[in-house]
This record gives sequence, C-alpha cells and structure tokens, in this order.
Amino acid sequence: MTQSFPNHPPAQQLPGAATELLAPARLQPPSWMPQHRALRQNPAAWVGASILVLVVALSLAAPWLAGVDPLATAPAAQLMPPSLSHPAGTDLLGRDVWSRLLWGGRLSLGAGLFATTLAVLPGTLLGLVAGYAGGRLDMILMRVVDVLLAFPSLLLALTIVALLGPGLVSATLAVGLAGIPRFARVVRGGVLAVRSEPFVEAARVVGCRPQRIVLRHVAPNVLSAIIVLGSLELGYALLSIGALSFLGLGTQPPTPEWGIMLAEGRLLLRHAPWVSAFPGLAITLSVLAVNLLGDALRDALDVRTAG
Amino acid sequence: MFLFGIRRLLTALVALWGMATVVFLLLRVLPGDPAETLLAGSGASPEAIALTRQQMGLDDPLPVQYGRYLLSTARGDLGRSLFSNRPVTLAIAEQLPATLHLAMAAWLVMAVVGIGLGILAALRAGSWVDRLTMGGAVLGVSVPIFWSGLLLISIFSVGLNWLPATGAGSWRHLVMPAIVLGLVGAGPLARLVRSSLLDVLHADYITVARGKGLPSRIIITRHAVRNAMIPAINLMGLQAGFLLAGTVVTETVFARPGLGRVMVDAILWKDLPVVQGVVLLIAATYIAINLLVDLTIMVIDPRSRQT
Repeated sequence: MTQSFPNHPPAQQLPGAATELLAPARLQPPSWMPQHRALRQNPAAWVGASILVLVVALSLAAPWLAGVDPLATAPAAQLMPPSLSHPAGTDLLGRDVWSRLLWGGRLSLGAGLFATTLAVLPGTLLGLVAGYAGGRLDMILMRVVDVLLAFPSLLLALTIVALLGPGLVSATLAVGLAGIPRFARVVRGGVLAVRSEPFVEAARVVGCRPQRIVLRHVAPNVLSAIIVLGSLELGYALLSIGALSFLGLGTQPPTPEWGIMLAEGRLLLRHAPWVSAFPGLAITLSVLAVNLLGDALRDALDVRTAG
Repeated sequence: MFLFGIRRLLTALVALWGMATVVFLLLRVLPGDPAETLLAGSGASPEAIALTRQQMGLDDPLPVQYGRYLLSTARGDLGRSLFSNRPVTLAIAEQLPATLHLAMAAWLVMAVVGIGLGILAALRAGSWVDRLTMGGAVLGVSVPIFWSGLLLISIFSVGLNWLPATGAGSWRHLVMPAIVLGLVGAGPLARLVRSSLLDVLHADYITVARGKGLPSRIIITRHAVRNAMIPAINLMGLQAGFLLAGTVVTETVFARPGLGRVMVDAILWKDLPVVQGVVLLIAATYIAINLLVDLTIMVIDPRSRQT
C-alpha cells in the first residue's frame, strides 16, 4: 500500500497550518495509546492479566507439568481424591484430572481464541466495507446483520451445530460465526462516526485509494472498539464452547476439554466433587480474567459497548 | 403514537419473516439428506429413499420449497419429526410450559436482583456495597451456568438436602434453576441500572427537586428511579432472548424436562424439523417480547414516540 505513493507524504503528515485543520486525530498517537496509564493503575486489569497469564502458561506447559497421559485410564485408581500423586484427583476411569485440566486448557483456550478470531476478522471486514461503501451494499449487509442479531447468540450457535454435526470443530465454528454480526454492527457504527471527519476527506482529496483510506485512516480509529469488544467476546466464546461441550454437542470423549470434563463430573457430584470442581474453576477463572481485562480496557479506552 | 405503534409492529413482522428465511436457508444448505437420515439403518433401497425424497418435497426447486415452508409456518404447521413422525408443534407444546416457567422465574430473579442491587449500588456509589455489587456483577457473567448449577446442587441437594436436584413439577424444583439462570442476567442489568441512575441523579431536574425541599425518598422513587428504568426495561427485553436460549443449558444441568432437552436431542439425532421448530419458536418469542418492551416504553416515555 505504502509503495504506491513513494514520494508522497501521507495526508496526515502534510506540513503547515492546514494539517491542524485537516488531520487533528492523526497528529496524536492512535486513540488507544495515551490511556495506558489508566490501564496500568486499574487493579482489576492487573488481577485479570495475572490470572490470564497464569492459565495460559499452565496450559502451554502441559507436556512438562502434566506428568501423566491425560487419556491413560487406571481401573485401580478410580475416583481418588486429590493427593500428592494426583493433585486434582482422578475421574471415573482413573484418569488424572490435573493432567486433563492442563491439556484441556489448550483445547478450551485455543478454541475460544479461534472462535473469537473467526468473529472479529470477517465481522470487522464486513463492518468496514458496509460503513465505508454506504449506499445499497451497506443497506443489504446491515439488514442481514439485523436479522441475525434478532437470534439469541447461543441459539444461532446451536442451529449451526445442528447443521455441522456435533464436535469441537463445529462448536468452535458455530460460536465464531454467531459472533460475526455483532462485530459488523459495531465496526460499521465506528466507521460511520469517522468517515466524514476532515482527515478522511483530506486523504480522499489527495487521491488515496479506498483500500488505503479504509485500512490506514479509518480502521485505526475503530481499533479500540474492536479490542474491547474482542476481549469480551473471548469470555463469551469460552463460555459458549464450554456450554456446547457440556451439552454433548462439542468435544467428544475421551478428549480432555473443560466443558466435557464438567459434563463427566456432573453425575459424580456426591462421590467425587473434584472431577467437576476443577474444570469449573478453570473456566470461571479464565472468563473472569478476560472480563476484568475487557472492562478495564473499556474504561481506559472509553468505548461504549452497548448499542 | 398510534402510527409509531403500527410501524413498530410492521418492523417486528419483517423481522419474523427475515428470521424464518434465515432458518430455512441455514437448514437447507445442510450437506445431509433428510430422506436418508429418516430411513438410515432401515436398509431402505435407493428407490425407497428417492420416493421418500419426492414425498417430502425435497426434489422441488428451492423457491417452491421456500414458498411452501413460509405458508405452512404461517399456518403454525412446523412439519413432523423425522424420528417419531409426530407433529413438531405437538412435541413443542408438551414441553413448552416447563421451559416457560423456568424462563419467567429466571426473568423475575434477574429483574429483582438486578434492579435492586443496581439501585443500591448507585445510591451508595463508591462505598463497599457498590464495589461488592459491581464485583459480583462481573463474577456473575463469568461463572458458567453449567458449573454454578452443579455448585448449588452440591450445596443444597447433596449437602443440605433442602431442594430436589433434578426434575420438575413444584416450585421447589424451580428455585435453583431460576436462580442460576437469573443471576447471569442480573449482572449486566445491575450495572446498567447503576450507571443510568447515577446519570439521572446528576440531572438538573433532580437538583430542582432537591431545591424545592422534596424529601430524598420522594425524589428517588418518583423522579430518579422512574427515569433510570427506561434503559433497564430495554435491556430486560434483550436479556429475555438470552434467558430463553439459556434454558437449554440450565435444563440439562438440572435434568429438567423442556424445550432445551428436545432441542439437544434433535441436534444429536439430526432431526431437523424439530430443531427448526424450536429455533423458530424461541426467536419469535424473542421478537414478540422486544415488541412488547418497545410498546411499553412508548407508553411510559413520551419522548420515544417522536423518533
């Protein structure tokens, strides 16, 4: 993109007084930079970030920390309470819950992250296109988005799973796809707010191509909204994928994943509460961490997520 | 006002039509063949499958199928289950009451807890009550229903033996599921009530009311809370969709009969007419609730009639 105008300074860097009028927004650092201090001073952000780092690190270190194969059954070691050799106890098949928890974290967190990406990228692209192009394309896209938003999100995900058949991949796809309309809506709103700003018009006047205007001038200004909404979406995706697995529509046994581990522990509440307690705690802590971070980002970046 | 109501009603009808279309398109792009699913395992010959396809109208062009689908759906005919061959409406009607009881009880829990704590937090803004409530709100949306439900069962059924863990039939069966589902919705509601009440409390007319020497109690109940409730009512309508979809998970946790169980089984068995019926019903209920919410707001807030 940059190479197409080798000797042409970008519009927002034109020297002289005109710049002040034309491009106030881009003379400063991007809108999500200066509030770093607010974020650093927010204790909730620290708590969230610490938990998240811990959970991710534990999952990544599964091969070294798990000790035992998460799939290895041991009939002699059924439903053993937490002990030194099994820090989180064992389940009905004698499998080590700690090992399943760590390996399960890779799948749960990975699937959540993938679903979020799947919602963010196409959703952002659609929102940018609709918002910047306007006119009939915008109208058609937004009508479709509105209809999709009329479905409760989990219901839409369930419908997509019905289409694709049960499994972790389809559950992840379903949760991701169901999130696209939300991003398209919010990003389009952000684009509409900046598309008639002087710095965008200036870029148009100096002859920037539409792709460059959208990517270099419009997109950075909706970035903070995407970051905030994306972090909250990650929490939502973790919960939804866990719920689908719990319902038997996501991960299939014997694969370790937090949602299905909870489902397996459901009938053991009386005799072996640890089988469901640890995966439940793992999901809750992860989602809590992401939500605390998302809320702190929202406050720091001053983004309105409602509406 | 009358015109506005009519226009809002038309929007709802368009939304219904769009929703029915999305469901049709989603379920018709399915790679599988309903006729084969229906006869799977019965050793039916390819000819028999072809005949069934013809009888089910699957050989007709898509627009013809779409027209027939819209007509029959509008008449309330949702087709027959691929497995039991019973009308889908009958299967739904049997299970609907249990789900509605749950959704309504959860909605009540959400409204009472969300509004109550929101008002409390706003009136004591900055205090420990406020911080505790807002912390609880984040925790509330972070705990998966399928774990908080199990926790309540461990405590109140397994431990204290106060409430039945599973099943339906009496109010005692409804307590835990309604609390679990309702509290998830209460978090965002409490936050919204708090922030909108804080906004209102700083408005000029509250200062005027104070200046007139009105007692605090009157100012808060007559002036502040009433105006702060409008965004809350809006959110409660939107949350109704979440609660309806959430019944699917809640019913599984507490092994309650209801639409959720019907839906999950239908997805597992690829019984698409049933999936379609449940999705249509829940989405239509959601649209109807939000129509009611908008009309309610129109009645209590004259400003909304002008837009």
